[in-house]
Order: sequence, then C-alpha cells, then structure tokens
Amino acid sequence: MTFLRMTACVALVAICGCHARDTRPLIAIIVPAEDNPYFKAEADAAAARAAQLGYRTRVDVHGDDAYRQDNLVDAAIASDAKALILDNAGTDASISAVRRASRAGIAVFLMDRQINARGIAKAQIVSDNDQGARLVAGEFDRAMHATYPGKSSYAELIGRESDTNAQVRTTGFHAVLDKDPALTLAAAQSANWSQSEAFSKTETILQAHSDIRGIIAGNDTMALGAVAAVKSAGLHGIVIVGFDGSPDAIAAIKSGEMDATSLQPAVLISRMAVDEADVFLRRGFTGKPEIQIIPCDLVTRLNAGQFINFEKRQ
Amino acid sequence: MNDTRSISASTLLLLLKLRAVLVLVALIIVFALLSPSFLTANNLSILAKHVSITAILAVGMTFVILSGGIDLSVGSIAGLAGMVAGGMLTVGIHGHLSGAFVSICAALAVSLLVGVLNGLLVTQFGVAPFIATLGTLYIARGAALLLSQGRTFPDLAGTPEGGSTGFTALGQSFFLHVPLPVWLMLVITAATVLIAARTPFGRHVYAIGGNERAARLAGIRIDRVKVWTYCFSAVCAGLVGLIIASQLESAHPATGESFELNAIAAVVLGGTSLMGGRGSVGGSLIGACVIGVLADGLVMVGVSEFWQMVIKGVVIVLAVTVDQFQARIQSRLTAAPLSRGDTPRVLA
Amino acid sequence: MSDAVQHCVVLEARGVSKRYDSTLALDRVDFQVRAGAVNVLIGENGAGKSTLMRLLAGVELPNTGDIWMSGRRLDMRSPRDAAAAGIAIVHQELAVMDNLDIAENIFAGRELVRSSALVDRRAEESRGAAALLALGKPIPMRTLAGTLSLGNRQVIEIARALAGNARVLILDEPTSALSATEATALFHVIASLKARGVGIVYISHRLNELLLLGDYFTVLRDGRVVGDGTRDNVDRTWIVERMSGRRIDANQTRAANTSSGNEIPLLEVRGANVKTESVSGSDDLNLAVRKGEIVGIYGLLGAGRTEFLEGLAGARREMPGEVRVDGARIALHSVSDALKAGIALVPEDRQRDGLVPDLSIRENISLASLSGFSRAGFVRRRDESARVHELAEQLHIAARDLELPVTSLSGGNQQKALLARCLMRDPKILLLDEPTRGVDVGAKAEIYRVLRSLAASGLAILFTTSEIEEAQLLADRILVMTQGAFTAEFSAANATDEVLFAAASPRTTVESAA
Repeated sequence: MTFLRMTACVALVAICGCHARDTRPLIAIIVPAEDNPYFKAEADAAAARAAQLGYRTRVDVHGDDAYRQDNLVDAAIASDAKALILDNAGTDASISAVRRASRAGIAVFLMDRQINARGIAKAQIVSDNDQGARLVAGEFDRAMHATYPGKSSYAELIGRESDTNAQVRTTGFHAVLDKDPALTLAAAQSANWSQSEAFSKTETILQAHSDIRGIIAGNDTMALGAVAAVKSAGLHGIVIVGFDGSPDAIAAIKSGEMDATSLQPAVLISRMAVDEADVFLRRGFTGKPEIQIIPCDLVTRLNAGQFINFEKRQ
Repeated sequence: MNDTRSISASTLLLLLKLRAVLVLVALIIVFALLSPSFLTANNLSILAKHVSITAILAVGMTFVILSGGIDLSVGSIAGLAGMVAGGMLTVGIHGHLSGAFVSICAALAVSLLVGVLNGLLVTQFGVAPFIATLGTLYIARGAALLLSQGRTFPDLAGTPEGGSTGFTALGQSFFLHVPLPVWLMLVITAATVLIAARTPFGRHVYAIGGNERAARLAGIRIDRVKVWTYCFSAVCAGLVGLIIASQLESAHPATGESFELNAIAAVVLGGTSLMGGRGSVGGSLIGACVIGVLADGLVMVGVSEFWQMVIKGVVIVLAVTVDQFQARIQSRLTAAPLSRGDTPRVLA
Repeated sequence: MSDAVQHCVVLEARGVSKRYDSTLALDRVDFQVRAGAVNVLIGENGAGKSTLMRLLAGVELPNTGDIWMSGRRLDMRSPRDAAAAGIAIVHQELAVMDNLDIAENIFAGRELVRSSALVDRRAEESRGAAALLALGKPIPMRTLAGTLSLGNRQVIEIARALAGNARVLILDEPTSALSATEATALFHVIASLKARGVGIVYISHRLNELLLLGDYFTVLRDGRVVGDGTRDNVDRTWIVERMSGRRIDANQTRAANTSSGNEIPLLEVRGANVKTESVSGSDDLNLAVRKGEIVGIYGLLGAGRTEFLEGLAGARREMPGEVRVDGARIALHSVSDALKAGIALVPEDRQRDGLVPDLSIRENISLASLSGFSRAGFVRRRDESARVHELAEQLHIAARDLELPVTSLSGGNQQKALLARCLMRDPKILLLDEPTRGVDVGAKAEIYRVLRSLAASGLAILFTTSEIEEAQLLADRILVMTQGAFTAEFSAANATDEVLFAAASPRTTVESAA
C-alpha cells in the first residue's frame, strides 16, 4: 500500500515536472574544457548572453576528443536544439559533425577555432592567432632590446605540437623574431600547454643555456610555468611573454613577473556568436560574412588594468 | 667446462641485474658529452628535483606492484592533493584560511582516503586492481575539478597577514644545498627499502605477489597487507601533488595527468615484475632516474618532443625484453646444479 | 577378447624419457596401446602416468625416445598434431565450455565450415548426434553443456574424440567425479568404443574398475615400467605388489604407539561435514587424535579429505561442527585462528598452495613466523637464520645454500621446507595433505622418519593419503573416507590392502556393469 502511494507521488511529481518544463528554445554550447580559464570564460559568457536573450542553454565539454564531440552533437540533435555554439575539436575532424548538425536543422556557430570547410556553419568567428602572435612577438622583441642592448638569446615553449594553434602561433612568433639579427633562439621545446611541464623544461633549458634572457610561450599557462622556473633559479630580469590573456597572466604582468601577453577576446567572440545565432533564429540570416576574424589585444604593464577575464573593460 | 660456462652465465646475469644502473650510467655519459652543462652541480640538483617527482610515485607504487596489484590512480591523487591544499590556503573552509601545515596534513589525509578506498575495493569487493584504481583515477580527477569548478588556485605563496605562508618551502627550499623534494625522495626510498627487506610486512608483500594462496595458508592477513600497500602508494602520490603545487605556487586540477604511466614505467625499468613477487624498491628509484635523466637530457640536447616520446618508449620496451631474458637465464642457473645425480651437501 | 593376440598395436611409445628441471619423470618407458582393447595404466601418484599421457597427447615432447603409430614415427609438436594423428584425451578436469551447447562443444576448435566460411550447423548437429547415438546418449544437440550432469559432460568429451575419428582415446581417472550409475553408463560406452576398434588407455586408482575393464596392464613406478601383463595373468595382488615395489614390513619400522586411551585427545572434531558441490557426504564427521599419535585418512581422490583438512586449518572460512584442541573449543574462521590454536597444515599442492617461488628457501620457511623474530617492527635476520638453519638440519633439508630460490630444491626437500614452515610455529597438531605426493622413494622414507620422531616428541599428526602403502607404513590408526564420510577405522596391524580397498571404494555398482 505504502509502495503504491509512493509510486503515485513519484508519478505526480514527474507529471508536474513535465508541465513545468522549460519551453524556451535550446542553444547548445560545446567547448573543449572547463578546467581552463579561457574556455571557461568563453562558455560562461555564451551561456549568460543566451539566457539574457531568452534561450535555454546546455554546456558540454568535448575534451579535444572528436569522437566525444560527435556524441555531444548527436545529443544536441536529439534534444532538438535550435542553435549550436561550438568551439570545435579539430579543423578537419569536426567537419562531419558540423555538417550533420546543419542537416538536422541546427544553426551552427563556430567560435575560437575554424574548420576546413565553408558554407556549412552559419558563422566562424575566431580570434586572429597569427596577428596576436606577431603582436606579442613584437612586444617581446622591443622588451628584449630595451633590457638587453646588443645581442641576446631566448627560448621558446611551444604548445602541443599536433595542435593547429600551436603551429600558427610559433609561425607568427618567428615571422617577427627571425628578422631581428640581435636575437638567437637557443632552445625550443614543447611543453604541451602544461604548467608543470613548462616548469621542469624551463629549469632544464636554463641549465643548458645560461645565456637565455627571454622566454616566449605559446600560451599563458606555459608562460606561468616559466615564471616559476625562473624564480626558482633565482634569476631576475628575464623577459617572459605568453598568449591568451588569462587572469593569472594579467596578474603576473601587473606584478612584473611577466612582460606581456596577447589577449584573445574570448568573451567578445562568444557573445558575438550568440548574438548572431539569435538574429539568425529570428530572421533567417545573420547579415554578416561567414568568416569573421577578431584581432587580439596586446596586454602590457601599461594597460593591464583595462582587462579582466578575457575582456577589455569598456 | 661446465664451470666456465656457468661463470660466464653468472657474469651475464650480474650485468643483466645491473642493467638499469648501466643504462643510467650510459645515459649520463652520453648527455655529458653532448651538453657541457649537464654535469654541473646546479643542473644535477635540478635533475634530482625532477627525478624526485617520478621517484616518489614509483617507490610508493612498488609495494602495490610487488603484491601483484597496480595503482592507476596516483596521477589523479597528486592532482587532488594539490587542489585540497590550494583550496585550503587560498579560499579556505567557510572563508577561514588554513596554515601551510594544516593544509598539507589535510591533503595527505584525503590522499590516504583514496588509498583506503582502493584497498577496500580490491580486497573487500573483489574488484580487479586495474579496474578499481581506474575508477578512483576518474573519481579523484573529478573531485579535483569540482573543488574549484575547474579553475586554478593561484598565489599559494600566501601572505604573512593571513598566516598562510610556508607552503612554498615544501617544493622550493633547500637543506644542505640539496632541494627538499630530493631529501623527501631519499628518506622515503630509504624507509621503503628497509620496510621491504627487514620487516614482516615487506616479506608478506613479496609472498602475496609470489603466491597468494600459499601466503593465505601461511596465515598472512592478505587483505590488511594489500590495503596498506594502496594507502602507502596514495600518500606518496599526494606528497608529489603537494610538491608540484608548492613549486608552481599554484594548484591546477589537471596536474598529474598520465603520471601513473611514468611511475609504472619506472617500476618496470627497475626490474619489478608486473605479475608481482619479484623486484626491488631500489630498482624503482633507478628506473625513475633513467626516465628523469632521459627527459631532461633530451631537452638539454634539444631533441623534439616527438622524438623524446619514441626514445622513451624504446627504452621501456627494451628493458622489459631484457627482463624476460634475465628470468630465463636465472632459472637455468639455479635449476641446473640440483638435477638428479648430483649429490647436494646436506646442511649439518 | 580372451585371445589377446588378435589385438594389434596401434600406438607405441619406445624408450621415452622425460626430465623436468631436477627430476627424471620418465625413464626409458615402453608402452603399447592395442586397438579394440582397454589398455590400463597403473601407478601411484607421481609414478609418471600423467607425464606419459602428456607425451602421448602431444602436450610435451619427450627428451629421448619416439612415439610410433601404426608403424610410422609420429612427430608431434602440439596437441593439434596428436589430434590430427587420431589421439584424443579426456582429462580428469573436464574441458567442457559451459556456455556453449553440445554441438558447439563437440566441434570447438575444428568447426565444420561451408564454402562460405560460415559454420555449418546442420552438418555439425547431424554428425554430433550420430556420435552421441553411438555412445548410447541421444541428448539434443542444442542443450547447453552447463546444464548437463558430470557424467554427460564426460560423454560430450568422448563424443568430441569420436567425431574427430580418434583411433586412440586416453581416459584419465574418468570415474573420479562420477556417481555409481554414471560410472556404469561410462563402462557401457567404453565397451561400445572397444567394439568399434578404438584403442583405449584407461588410468584409474580404482582396482576393481581396472580388473573389470582392463585387457592389458602396465604398471609404472618412479618413472619406470615395472610390470606388463594381460588379463589372464593379472590379479589384485599382482598389481598391488608392483605398484608399491618391495614390501616393507610395516611393524619393523614403526615404533608402536602405546599411549592409553583415556586421556583427553589433543584434537577432537565432532559433527563436521565436508559438503561441496560434488561431494554430498555425512553431516557427522567425528575424529580424535591423541598426543603422539599419527592418524591417517585413507581415501580416493574426491573423497573430501582435502576439504576436511583445510577446514581444520581455517582455510575454508568456516568449519562446520565443533573443534576442540586440548579439550577447549576453538573458533576457526581464518588460518591465523588455526595457527593460534596450534594447528598447522602442509597443503597437498605444494606449487599452488605452499611455496612462494620468488622467495628463498629461508624466506619460505620463516614466512608464517615473521612476527616472532621481529623487534620494533623489524625482522631480526640473525635470529631468523639461526632458527631456519636449526630446522633445516633437524629435517635434513638438502640445499647448497638456504638463500637460493626455493624452486631449486627437489620435491622431497620442498616438502620438508613446508614442514619446517609449520614446525616453526611450534604447532601441537600437524596436518599433512598427501605428505609425499611427487616425492621420490628415498625422500619418502626420510619424511616418514621425521614425522615419526615428531610424533614421538608429542605432536599429534593427522595426514591424508591415497596410497595404501603410505597409510600402512606411517599411521598408528587409519580412517577410511569415502564420499565425505568416514566409512571404516583400522589399527595399523589390521589394515590389509584388501580391507582398505574395499572400504574406500565408493559403493559403485561395478558388478551390475559386468
């Protein structure tokens, strides 16, 4: 008897739950990770903007795994999402998933990373990694000359070498730095985007090349690892720059431990993606070109106060 | 005639037994030739500090592997321990910040808890060690991410006003010009060697790995011994997580990813059998040194990441192949002299 | 059949020898298998029967000697080669896959395939059904093997051999796990196989079965053939004499135990049972062993002896019934409970349950007593070595160095090392499960002498054996265990071969099969 009553209660609650169900249209947001401040800021900004515009949202993480991304896209199709805001898991590996979502009637908006195909997604809004890399490399070059007149050598920490962004950034760095005859590259190592790996590799590199005066890193996490290694070696005045503009890096720039970073406007980009999705869902077109490239901002000690969490204060 | 053969065979056996040391010496010579700064005191000190991370994990896991188990959760435990300490130092419990000592103890206690969980899963619920620790690998990693919602805890140096300074000493301070992590590694290894060789516990670990049924019939409390091995491994892993957080002055939830593979590789390089029962703690230390020297040396010489992976893999595969070779020679050497017809001396 | 000459030799081992690390398991053995006849292979445990069987079945290669089939030398490198030559074997441990049905089991590993590379179920079922019909067991082909009785599973294995057109079938202790009716059914199957001209090699401990079925008899002892005979000139005495070798006068070597019967027994068991899946057994096993007494439990394989001893040693989590040591009731939940109460067990299977192969002789001996040598958590190596040496000397363990791996010892010395491990705990009661299994003759006598002197020093000793001679030589009193129950008790003087055999044989209906 008690069992029956309990079952009835549960059923009632379930029915009420169904009635109270959110009927707002769904926007699915899929990002690579949430244990990374950049992707977290990106996901949070997109979700907040979508909620503000009256959408239901769901945030998922593919962990840079194209297979998992596939499953998540299927889940979005199954739950009848209207739009998909995606920071994808690979320029080529993601094409089929994006195409499948489009065919299922979902408007796909790519942010942060492009795919190697046009006309499938409604928009691809990315920060300009090449421009950002040249920007921060120029600042690195300037700081090196300002601190060490004459010839000096530096080390480079590269991201995961199989990653497109790691390659674009290192190419951008070298487009600037290789032109300067006063600078020599003493060592280049991959630290796989990781802080602890950057720490131990920098320690070792500093042992092998005691003449190193600067370190340029493919992202801020590795730059902060280099900061810790330089500190542990008891060295001062080493020029360190990174990429991304993470809050930790900006704090390090303010305190003088780092010199510069290139801030990717993650918040701006994900808001743009959601805004364009909203326009598209209401009118059927975005009114913008598919590929939109947003320039990065250079953050140095002079303007560090203007930036907070991947966003320039207005 | 038979004698000369067995002498050359036993020389070969000795060389094989010392293979990890020989490989280590060879690597050091090669890198010293390729990079002039490799053998400087400063670099050796940094090298030892890097080795200590893998070594503490490997030494901690040696008992687990000797008893026939495996611990895949150590990397995640390291991440979790760093996050627990980082959270207590910078965010605090209900806004109340903890001191360095309390945070360290709490982080080690959490690690111990995961070890107990591993041990109970294996002994009380009969879950295969591979699966049980694979489960806790995910649980501990998830817990580490949950603690900060995926964020990093920065600024672990603390402030004197907050009374939270001192945490950085664990990874960064020196004693007699040698980094503290290296001392920790040496103390833990020495203690573990002693436990393995001289205590009933150590002997029981070997017995369980060699023949679990026989160990049970000899009255050894197998469950208890196994739980302790997982606890020891987990606490060592927690310590590693704390050292890393202390060195970076920040705690990142993804710290320690795939550390377990390095640790297992070090244990195996040190000659411990993954089937259990055979191997040594000292071997694990040497194995960790091989991995550490290889990694740092290749960076100093400037070899690319991709080649580093290939070389590391080749060294591991070679070591295990040689291990099989050694086992074969050893059994031939020990079994042959007592065949029928020989008259063994009766001890009297 | 009465005329033995008409059976031609189908399979023959000529002068085969096989050496394992330290022991010579077979020494220039000749063995002939005749077609259309039951060729009986007899010997005590460790006599080399199973080694010979492994050679015939291609599991291992002989060191010297050859195996011939119908006048052709066979070059067998694997069981697959043996099967291709027409030699099939049914092991004591059945190799039936419970999750497959009968047809799948019969053709496992050599499935019948159509041109399309798909399994031809129909052909398998019709050929399998024909094989089962020939064996007089028309069981539906789609029955899952897991649902069959033990006897029927054995029939499946025999059918597998038949479907592979085997010309020689080796049966290893086929009746050890069968009930009386199942055994009878098996004998009928064997008769029909004989009629089809299959050469059967039959291995068993049960003399009455052998005498009933056998046409040719070969006795192995210590790796050598010690007797060959045909049905006409073999009887029970012939077999027993050859199996046990020279008869030793039991009374001469044993000091008569003359302790009086009215003191409290050192070990007393009441109302125990050894029920397992295959043994039904009695609920009321009672036993008492006095100080200084050696009691033997004689029985065939699967009688429940091992279960009984393991129960007493606390190795089966729970010992049903009541166990008293020195009059005080003890709880037996774990091995440490038993050790604390002064009960120590030398297990039957040394390799599986006794030795830790990676440890040295010293470490194996001291394994159960480490806390006794420890001060402040550390083992005192000097005390440990001293005690180990003392015991090694007392038990005459022949080792070059006690630091060598325990695997370097011969079987007999390994057994002594395990005995030393138990003695190091200073037990009051010593349990030994088949104390001389896989031990050669010289070491056997040595072990008997050691056990007798231990008993004389006040230990109570309880051992099990499946060798009549061992029971007679060692025990003051012999209990016979059959199918989980004590069926008889003899004093050493009254225990003749005949009465022990009779008491130990399960109430098989051998006669009805005849």
